[in-house]
Amino acid sequence: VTILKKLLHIDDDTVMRMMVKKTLERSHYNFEVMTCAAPEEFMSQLDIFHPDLLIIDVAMPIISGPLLLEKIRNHGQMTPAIFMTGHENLELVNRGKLEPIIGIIHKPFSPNSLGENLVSLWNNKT
Amino acid sequence: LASGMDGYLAKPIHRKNLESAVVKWITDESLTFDKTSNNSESAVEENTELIDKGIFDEMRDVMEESMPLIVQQYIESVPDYIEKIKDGQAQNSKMQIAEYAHPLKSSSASLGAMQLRNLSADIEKMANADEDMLMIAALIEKMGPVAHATMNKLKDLAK
Repeated sequence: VTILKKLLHIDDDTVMRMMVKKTLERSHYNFEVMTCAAPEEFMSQLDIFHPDLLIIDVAMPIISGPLLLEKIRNHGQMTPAIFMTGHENLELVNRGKLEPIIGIIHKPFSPNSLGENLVSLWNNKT
Repeated sequence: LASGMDGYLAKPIHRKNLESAVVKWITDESLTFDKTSNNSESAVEENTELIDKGIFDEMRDVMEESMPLIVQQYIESVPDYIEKIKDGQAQNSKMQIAEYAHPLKSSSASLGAMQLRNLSADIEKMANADEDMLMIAALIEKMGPVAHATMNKLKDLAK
């Protein structure tokens, strides 16, 4: 298993973006974290930042997280993804088109265990 | 920096700046909150903490010097979300109400703002369940007073 290093994150909420970035940078895993508010920026960072993992908020205006990921997969981009959601039950309608999805993280996340959770999901991915 | 990137996080934000931002927010007459409305007392629940100190402190421990900026961003985002929710109500769009109650629920929960979190969660749930708009409106009406009380509490905690 390769080491999880570069994380590309998208959330339309400023507070969530700041919390995720700071939480992950502060964890002792030496992550490089790039956060985006806009889907176009997220798309373009795929080729610039070359992330190991995508962290995608589910409920966003303009385009939902699952739709954004479908668009990314349609471009042949297969970087593993994790959804972050404030919904208690997340039903992914066409999950087959979105794989590889290696996990779902629920909001509010615990700031002390987010990094650990990501690494554990990463190490357990098949 | 490209738009939407949060590269300005490293900028030191002093507690005084946060306090003055909070004070400005609370005294800004142009905001849509009606803090003088006659239900402002009853809207705030007595049985739930406005801010869960445990959640707030855990977040502050992790966020360190970024915490004031995060609180400030939260304080600035709340009136925007409430305005969008009220706009959804005016347009009779339960979809819009749910769309903006949702992120307000998440960010409030992350900071431990439990009353605003619970209110947003109830509004989102009712809007998604296509409940009567009058019932939803009654909850939306509570948002201004609860937000106002929450911001006052955050101002205390930021000291």
